[in-house]
Amino acid sequence: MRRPDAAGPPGAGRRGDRPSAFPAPVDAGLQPERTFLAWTRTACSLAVVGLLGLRWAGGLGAALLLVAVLGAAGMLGLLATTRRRARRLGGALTGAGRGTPPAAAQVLGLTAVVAVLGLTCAVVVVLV
Amino acid sequence: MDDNDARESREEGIHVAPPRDALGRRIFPDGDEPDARFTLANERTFLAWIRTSLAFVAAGVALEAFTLGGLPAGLRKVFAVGVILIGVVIALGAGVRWWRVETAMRHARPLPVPAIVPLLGLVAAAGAVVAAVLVLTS
Repeated sequence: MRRPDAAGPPGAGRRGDRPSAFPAPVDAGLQPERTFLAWTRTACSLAVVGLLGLRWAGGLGAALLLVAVLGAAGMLGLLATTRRRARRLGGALTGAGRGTPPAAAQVLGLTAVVAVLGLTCAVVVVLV
Repeated sequence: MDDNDARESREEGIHVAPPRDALGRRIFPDGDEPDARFTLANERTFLAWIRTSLAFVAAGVALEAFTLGGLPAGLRKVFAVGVILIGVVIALGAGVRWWRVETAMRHARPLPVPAIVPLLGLVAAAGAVVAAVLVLTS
């Protein structure tokens, strides 16, 4: 059921004048997909920086393997949960003003992963 | 949104935002969920800052790994650690800013001014000056 006051961008409700079985999305901008893609390319950047650090750390690399494995597992977990969220939202982002819970755990988790990666790199630069 | 509102919304067939998880309730104790598009846009901005931060970390590692710049080893190390630490500060700032923006939106307040932007501008300008000095003296 489409709310009469559901404001959307021009074209969002263009399905002819017949009432549709499905509510017209208020947003044609593929927000959930864009957000998940942003998570994906951030994960790629993280992998590149992590591998660069490992490759260059040489003899210290073995000692850092645990940090690397934990970081990779954490990032895979973030991707899996944000992907699930995007899929859930993808079909449901239909009512104007409908909210979604902020991805607090993922955002704080990624902040922590990147901060640990940076500090580890700083320590490695000092030691090597 | 209290239970009454939620029930009314369901009866009207309006989708109700799913509840926040425990962490979400803890760091955003009050206010109302903004439009999902704004929450997602805030998240993407956070991610863009994280990638900026990762670029700084990578630049610091590269500075040391590829012995760029013809600097004395000690000075190079100081620069490398400095650039990496700027990256860490940007990552932490990204998380804090995500929280501040989300909080402002939950209370329909104006968004906070990004304090990190002038800082980043200064750092970029300082980097350019250092690069110019290196080019002139090498």
